[in-house]
Amino acid sequence: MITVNNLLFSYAPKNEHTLKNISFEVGNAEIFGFLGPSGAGKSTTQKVLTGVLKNYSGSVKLNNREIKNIDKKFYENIGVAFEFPNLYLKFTALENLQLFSSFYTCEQFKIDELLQRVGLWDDRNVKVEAYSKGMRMRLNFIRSILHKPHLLFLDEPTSGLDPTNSRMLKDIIKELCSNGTTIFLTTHNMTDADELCHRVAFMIEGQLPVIDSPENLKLQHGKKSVKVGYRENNHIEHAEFDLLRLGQNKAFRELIDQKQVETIHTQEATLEDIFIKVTGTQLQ
Amino acid sequence: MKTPNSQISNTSKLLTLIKFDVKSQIRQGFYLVYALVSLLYIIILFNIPFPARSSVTAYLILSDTSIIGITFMGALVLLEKQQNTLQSLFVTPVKLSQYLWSKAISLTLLALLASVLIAFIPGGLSHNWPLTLVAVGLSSLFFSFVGLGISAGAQSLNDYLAGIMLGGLIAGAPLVLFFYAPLVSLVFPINNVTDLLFTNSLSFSQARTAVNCTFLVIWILLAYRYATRQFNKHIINK
Repeated sequence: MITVNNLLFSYAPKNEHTLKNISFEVGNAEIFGFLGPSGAGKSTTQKVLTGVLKNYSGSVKLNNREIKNIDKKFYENIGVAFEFPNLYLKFTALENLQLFSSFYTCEQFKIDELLQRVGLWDDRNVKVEAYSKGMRMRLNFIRSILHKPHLLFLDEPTSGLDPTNSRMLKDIIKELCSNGTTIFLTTHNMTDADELCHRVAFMIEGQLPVIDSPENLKLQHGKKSVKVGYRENNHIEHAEFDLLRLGQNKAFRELIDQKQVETIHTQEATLEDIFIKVTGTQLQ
Repeated sequence: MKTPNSQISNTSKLLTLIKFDVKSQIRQGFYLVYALVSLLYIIILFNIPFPARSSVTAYLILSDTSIIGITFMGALVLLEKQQNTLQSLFVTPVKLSQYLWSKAISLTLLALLASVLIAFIPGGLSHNWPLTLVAVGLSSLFFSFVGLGISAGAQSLNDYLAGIMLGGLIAGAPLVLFFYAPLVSLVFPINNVTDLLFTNSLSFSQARTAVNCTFLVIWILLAYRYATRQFNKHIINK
């Protein structure tokens, strides 16, 4: 779906490059996570991929078509939900969706069904200025998927959402993906990235030092051990065992047999640990 | 290559945007403000005897309703910048040209409506209404595009006000020429509008009307190009 080769970009000819020779591919129906601290170049990459910034060097192709040469029809197949909800505040949710729906000629979801799905149906005729941040985020999200885009760009889609709505949104994202939508997810939220993404890329200072699946990264960078939490004199104690031949480990077997085990966790690294380790930078 | 279908779709997108912009302007209170302003002008004009009423009407339209575009555009665009709606609009099939024309046409509709009330209820310019409407329509389109260009680069309302003061000075200065070299001065848009509005009260000339309209159309296209460049530079490619 997306093929990027040696992409270089700077906002002005004399400025330092914001994107420094980056290359990656995103396959059909893949959820590709783009992680990195603020100012790393994530938004710039998204602007290049959505055809907004065309003055780049290298190659950026969508379905084998160079983005530089696209016309406005290209946007029939693209959906973008920006980090900050960009809605017409003096208009209702329904009016906002109807306006955007009128821009597309392709097959679309039914507005009523989308509003019901994200729990905004009862407030469909309320002006967006009276919406909470979470409601605006949900509306912003369904506006971006209204026209059943083949490629969807999501920037921090669960920001400001309570756990229930965050769960609901992630379920829709997975559903879209299983129906063939390719999703480019920009986020700081490592839990979301871990749960949703087939692969993630770490962006730091305009470069992509790491691209891999969360599972591979966690295995590569984690400890091959298991940590057992067990109850001892009304306290929780912990013991760690090597995963290698764990079944034959006498101490581990004794602990399992004789103690009241409360937790057992393998010690793979978290995505956040890996990000800090690889880039030397903490996500903000 | 454009197909008839895409043409229809482009026209329908433009009409949808115009309708939405008019609705938005009503909700922002622009129409209410102009209803009150027009009412005030109408009361003043009813108290001025003819033939002075015609000249005062032309002056009010020249100095106010025909430049509604530049007065209100800053508020409209800065609000959209603040609400971040522009970035989401430009990643849809909507073209920048459709956005710009919609803004200019919608404010021109307001300018025409206000001018109709001011010119025709007290009767100051009702004897040559087509020319008055043409003058207001073309002038409003020109000033709307100038307003769009200035607002694209403005970061705040103060920036915009400074921009339109400078723009107003540049656009208005050639009016001096109108009194010394009327014919030569017709290359400037402010003089074209002045000539069209005041011709109503004096003598009508087809040739002069054609010259004024031609120059205004050229100025509208130049202002449109300026607005397009400013939007690409300050908003789209930022």
